[in-house]
Amino acid sequence: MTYHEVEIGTVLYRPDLEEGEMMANDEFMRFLAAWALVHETADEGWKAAVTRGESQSPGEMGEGPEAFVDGLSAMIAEEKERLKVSLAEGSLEPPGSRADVAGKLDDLLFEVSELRGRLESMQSTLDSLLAERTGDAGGLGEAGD
Amino acid sequence: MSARSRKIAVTFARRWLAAAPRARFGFAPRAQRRAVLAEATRLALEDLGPAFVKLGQIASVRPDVVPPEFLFEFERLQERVAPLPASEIEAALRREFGRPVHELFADFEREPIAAASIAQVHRAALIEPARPVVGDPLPAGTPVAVKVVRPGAAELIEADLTEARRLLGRLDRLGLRRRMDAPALLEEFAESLASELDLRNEGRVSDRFAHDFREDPLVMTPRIVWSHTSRSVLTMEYVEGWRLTELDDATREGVDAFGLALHGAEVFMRQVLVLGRFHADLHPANLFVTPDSRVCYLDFGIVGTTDSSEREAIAQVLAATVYGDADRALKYSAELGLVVPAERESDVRERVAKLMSRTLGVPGRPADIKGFATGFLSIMADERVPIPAGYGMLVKALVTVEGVARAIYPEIDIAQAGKPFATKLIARLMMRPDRVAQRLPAALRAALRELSS
Ligand SMILES: Nc1ncnc2c1ncn2[C@@H]1O[C@H](COP(=O)(O)OP(=O)(O)OP(=O)(O)O)[C@@H](O)[C@H]1O
Repeated sequence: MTYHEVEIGTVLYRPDLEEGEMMANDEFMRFLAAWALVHETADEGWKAAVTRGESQSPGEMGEGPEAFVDGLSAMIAEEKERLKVSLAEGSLEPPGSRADVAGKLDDLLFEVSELRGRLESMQSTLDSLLAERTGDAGGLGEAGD
Repeated sequence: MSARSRKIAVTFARRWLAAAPRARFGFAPRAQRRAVLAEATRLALEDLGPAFVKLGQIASVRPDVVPPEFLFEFERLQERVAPLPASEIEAALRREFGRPVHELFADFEREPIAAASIAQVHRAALIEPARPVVGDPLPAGTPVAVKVVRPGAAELIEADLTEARRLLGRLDRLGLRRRMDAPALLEEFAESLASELDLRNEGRVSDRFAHDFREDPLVMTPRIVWSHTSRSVLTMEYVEGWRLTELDDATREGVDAFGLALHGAEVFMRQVLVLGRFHADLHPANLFVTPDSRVCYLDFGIVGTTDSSEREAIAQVLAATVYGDADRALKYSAELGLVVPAERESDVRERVAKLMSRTLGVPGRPADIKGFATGFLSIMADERVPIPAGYGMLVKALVTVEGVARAIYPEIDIAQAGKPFATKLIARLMMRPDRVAQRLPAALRAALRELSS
């Protein structure tokens, strides 16, 4: 294995910024879906885009930007239906807040665990150095190979 | 000249001379000449052993310094090493941890499961429970893989690097060095070789990956046992499964092969466009499909990083490539540091556009990403356009992802299958309201206004 970081630009990995900086993929879709749901009232252009989009594969980029937008609209319409269902079931969490805090806590926990891992590894190296020094390596003497 | 220097020089000379007739003494087309030379170079590297094999492997993900024909040839570098006797590995473990093997592990298997030039891997089991950084605790008795750096490997590599430096110095004085700053490159490669000898780096990258994908039920990575890990020993959970290189049809039927292949591509996109860290040298040999239908990532290779402005440009390049829009692809490539001199721009654009329709836009045929990448890098090499290191790594990594996905599900067209995911990502990254709003239906347009305020 080879471990080596190569930067494309200048900014190195910044765990504090990157997750918060942008909305996650699904959150983005859900936002658009929520908006579409709230503003469902007769937007003919939107409905037409969805209909056109449904007849093609999502984000049909080969056909140009218009088709891309149609495909995306169809995906949002699907997301909207899912949103409706979960609203009806009352299984929806308020977006953001709770999940947000949980994510940050997770990151913090990870850093602490990582530190613990490093300490454990250092501890075992230290143990071996100590064993070597006191000469009671519990095995150095019995080295039979 | 030391004996080793002489051996290095003679080995290259012999392999290259043997290849000369096939390169028709320089009269063959450039790409063909490069391919013949690439094979000869690979064989020479293999002849010369671990340090050179590793240098070649590092070079194989760097289109910025190595022509495309060499990249794919160097991927095939094989290490031919006999495993060390178990007694030497056991002695190394005792030196590392100050305790005999039977106090460290239960059932340490003396027959290695893998042997490479730098390290060899043995199977064993945990004596006491362990608490990994990510995931559930590992109870006593858990099977583990113990990866141990071969005693003396570091010294051997250092000695070879010293010789290589000396040789390059001589070439330099003779004025044989041309466009490439070889000594600087050697230092950079030496650095990544050095970090490879410290197995704790691999453990850390693996933990980070496990954390990034903690909510993803389809991927996994072995949990690291840090109490039994040091600079030259890495102890991790043993993973059962099939290497991608040995998947057969029966196994494919037992798992959701298509889903896994597609997911592999999505994991990569997420790394590049969302997390900002991506694996630059995944090998099908280092990926396992587990019996419970997950993909296990082993051996974390070179890691590339992307920042948020780059991610936007990358999304643009990807989208433009799928659109078959060479103009835009090159425009956003320039933002990533790939600069085509103005006087050659229209020429390059035309060649890239032709390549796109030949490799990506053939109706009824799956997109050939490797074909596109090879052709693209070849055009840049012919036109003498320097390729930024990170850009090159990304292109190469994309090809690897296609290879990995096809190893799982041979018929997959990742450009096609990845569209729903890519569409969301690209939409999110590109939808600057001011730029696209006028094309969007009213409801979406209003949502985007809200989003950006
Ligand atoms: N946790 C594990 N569970 C099961 N098998 C493992 C594990 N780790 C390593 N192996 C086996 O050992 C082989 C070599 O491991 P790894 O790739 O980490 O070593 P390496 O010396 O870095 O080799 P290379 O760089 O050539 O791929 C793997 O291909 C796999 O077969």
